[in-house]
Amino acid sequence: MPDTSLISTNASAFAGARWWNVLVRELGVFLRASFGSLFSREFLTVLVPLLLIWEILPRAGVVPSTLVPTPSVTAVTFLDMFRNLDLAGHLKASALRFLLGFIIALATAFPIGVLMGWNVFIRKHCLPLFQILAPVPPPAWVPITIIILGVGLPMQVFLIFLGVFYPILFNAYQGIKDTDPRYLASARVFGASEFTLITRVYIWHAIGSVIMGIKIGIALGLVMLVISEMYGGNSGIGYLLLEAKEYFQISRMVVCMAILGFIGWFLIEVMKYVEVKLAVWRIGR
Amino acid sequence: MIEARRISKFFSVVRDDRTAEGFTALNSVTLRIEDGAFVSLLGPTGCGKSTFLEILAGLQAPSDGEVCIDGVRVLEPLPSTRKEMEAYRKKYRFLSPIANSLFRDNPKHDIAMIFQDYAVFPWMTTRQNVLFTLKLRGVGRADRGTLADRYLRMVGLTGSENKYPSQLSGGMRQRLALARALSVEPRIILMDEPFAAVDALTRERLQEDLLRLWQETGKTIVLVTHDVDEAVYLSDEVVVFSPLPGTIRNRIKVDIPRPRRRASEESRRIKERLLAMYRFDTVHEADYVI
Repeated sequence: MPDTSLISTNASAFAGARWWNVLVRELGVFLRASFGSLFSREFLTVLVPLLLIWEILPRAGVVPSTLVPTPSVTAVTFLDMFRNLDLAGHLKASALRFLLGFIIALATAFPIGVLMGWNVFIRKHCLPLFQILAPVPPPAWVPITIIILGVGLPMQVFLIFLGVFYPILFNAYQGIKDTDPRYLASARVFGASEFTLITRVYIWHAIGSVIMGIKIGIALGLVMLVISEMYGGNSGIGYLLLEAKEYFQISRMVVCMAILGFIGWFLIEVMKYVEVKLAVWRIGR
Repeated sequence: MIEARRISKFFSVVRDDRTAEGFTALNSVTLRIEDGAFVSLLGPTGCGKSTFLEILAGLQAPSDGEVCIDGVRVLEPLPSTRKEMEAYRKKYRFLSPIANSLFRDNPKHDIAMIFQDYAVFPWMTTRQNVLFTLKLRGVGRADRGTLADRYLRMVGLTGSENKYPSQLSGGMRQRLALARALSVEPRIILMDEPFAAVDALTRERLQEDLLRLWQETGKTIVLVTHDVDEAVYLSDEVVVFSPLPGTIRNRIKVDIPRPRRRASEESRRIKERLLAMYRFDTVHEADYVI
């Protein structure tokens, strides 16, 4: 660990300011890394023409403007949905479901994956079960879940959980299992207990794989979020999407899709940031 | 004192046509290393000497025979009959035989090992690597910092404490591995070709450091090497391994008084004797394949 004694001795007077400084600096780093890549000069030369084509083609009548809403129409619809449809409330409902399902899946899949990768005894008892259950596509669970849990938060959370669980589980398991035996041997010679091996060797060696699993889990979790809200519920982005379909409001559908795309992109960027923070040592390679 | 009695190690290897074949890496190696000795195991690459060292360290179980360090057996040998195999499986069904314990950091023997490819943890900085091994040995939190600084200074890594191993050069990584092994102040140090990947200049410096350290502290050092010069310059005794299957071909006492000179007449004579042995092996190779 870097020596923090120097920092802590003279930090007491500026503790508040220092805390804020760190937060602001890290936020800056994150925003530059995420939105920076979106608004880089290179990508803008692609993005701007694409948006222009999208705007011009329906206006010029090349494609029917009733079917393809232009970006300007989409933006107006977005503001309109905020005012008249309580978009913020729907977003909040979706976020709650997604976070609950995601956190429960992470809190269960990660430890199980680690234990399975670490120990052959546990692996032989647990892995076949997950290997049988995992190929069942998560959407196939929808009917039986609705029958058992009814329509509501538990059913939606469970479906999202199903989407997130397996990618994290298998990636964590694979990463832990593939830990280089040299590192294990060198820690064991110095007397590391199995618990220390897990916390100080296995997990750090597998960190890239685990984060990869979380990224895949986020993508699948969003899929399950939309599906669960389409099948049951009266709030959320998926519900809005379905409602827009019923009323044939194409611009609203596009808004919902754009929001979903943005959320997915944003969460992946968060994971990239977490990866950089946790695995500083991998950057030098 | 390290005692190895009739150590054999068999592997099964799968050939290209998918048939399995027995493969003898070590054949009945018996060796006794006294306390405070500096012993080199010399042999061409791939003659089972690294395997032997791992068996000494308790990282692999021997197929036959046993290793005792100060009279305590390191690992029980692998089972040979079906019945023994079942009992062995049952005994170690949850934890592997080389595991230490579930929650308590406690080395089985007072040894440290330096691996051929360093095996320093890339996710810890230089200083964290040393602190971690000290923690594993149960050194108190207060002493860890000073010990780590002392040994990092000894190997000349002051100033690189907060670098990650990927930012270090090969020689520096090797010195870190050395510092890590020395910092826990073990009675026995096992080294697996520690200077093989280091440039000649750094190698000489590290060898001098190692010698000085050995003379100051009186540790037992077992050095695996394929470098004849290194073996003759450093060790009290050179144990010569024959090519596969690995057996002890000869043991040569190096009784040149210390401090030694690298190019002295006596060491040149011993080197020639060692090299002559290998030349004989390569010329009369056919005699050995029986």
